[in-house]
Amino acid sequence: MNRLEFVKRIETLLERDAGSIDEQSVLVELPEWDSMAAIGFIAMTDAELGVAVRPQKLFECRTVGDLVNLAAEKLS
Amino acid sequence: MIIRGARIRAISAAVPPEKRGQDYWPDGPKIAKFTGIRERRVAGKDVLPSDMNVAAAIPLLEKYPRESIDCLIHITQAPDYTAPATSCIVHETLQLPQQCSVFDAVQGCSAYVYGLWMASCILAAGGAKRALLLVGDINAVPADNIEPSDKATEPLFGDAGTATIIDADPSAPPMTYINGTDGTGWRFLVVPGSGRRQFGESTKLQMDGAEVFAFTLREIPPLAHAVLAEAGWSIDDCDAVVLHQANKVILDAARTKIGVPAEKFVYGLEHFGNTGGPSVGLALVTEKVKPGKWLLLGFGIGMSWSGLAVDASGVDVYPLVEMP
Repeated sequence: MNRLEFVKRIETLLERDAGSIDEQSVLVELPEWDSMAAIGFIAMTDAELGVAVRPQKLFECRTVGDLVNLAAEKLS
Repeated sequence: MIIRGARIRAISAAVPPEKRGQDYWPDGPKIAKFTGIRERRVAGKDVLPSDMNVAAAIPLLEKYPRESIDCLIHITQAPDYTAPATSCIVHETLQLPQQCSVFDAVQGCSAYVYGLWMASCILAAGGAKRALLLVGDINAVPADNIEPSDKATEPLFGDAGTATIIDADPSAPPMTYINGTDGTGWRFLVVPGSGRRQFGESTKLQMDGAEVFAFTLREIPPLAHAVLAEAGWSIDDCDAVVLHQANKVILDAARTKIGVPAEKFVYGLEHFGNTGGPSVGLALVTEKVKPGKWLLLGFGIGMSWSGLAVDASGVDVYPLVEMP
């Protein structure tokens, strides 16, 4: 999975229209980014990439790109 | 650790009559899909965990006479009073004999399996012959006290009580337990204003859901594998795997990481939600889990966990008690 594919995976997780977010998208401006989505994100990175995201790091994220960076080591 | 000489005889559970769906919240359908919880049972203000535990215990006393019970363990996070022990009050209610050791313990989501461990240790050591383990809790917010800030917790929780008979029995199959604690995580699930040391004002459960989820992914699959290894079992040897019924996301993720086939994995969430301490016992009852080789895992607030592998063939799983 590359960075772009991971962004699309986040898009699916948030049940947003295709192409509606990119790495510059600001999380607080996405109404779908809530506590359920945060847990869904941890589950998804764990199951699909084997990355254990630390919740503290997750809540420091400001943009979708910051989320991608949490999994960067496992992305091509 | 492997405990020999204690046998689970019978399991019963009780729930209060009031049902609450997820329609309080505007995105209720999304919450229901995400959590796997469509409705919960809510005790309200007049029913306490001890009441639900007593309701669960009464059917057991027909086959397991009150005179034969010489140990009562009552576990809840919502006792009748700070003092005396709720177990003493229940001792009166159930008219148990004077020659009966009774005590309270406090645990949350790990309580059911933890309580089995307590009872098993006492019985195997010769401290009693027949234990009645009562595990119940109240976590649902009363209807007139729901606030917008409760959204992270309110949709999850329901109320229930359980009663379990465990006997001293030299011929009982071995019980393999592993308990554990990570006290550094106690702030992730806390009722801040509930005790003598004030951590905050709120008298409601506050939860850092992401931290609790990360804890579960980190600790519970290794716990399952460690219990199985110590018992000398593989996952294929298990007839049923019952985890603390936290929510669907946690159960799905844990099931995948442990590697449990779907047909062996018990979901009891849809109509009862997360009932905290009693959830493992409640799921055994509501899902009519067949006696056999069981892997039971309780985990959560504390952070605390307890796992048990036991051949529970012959255990009586009683029908659910619907309280009036």
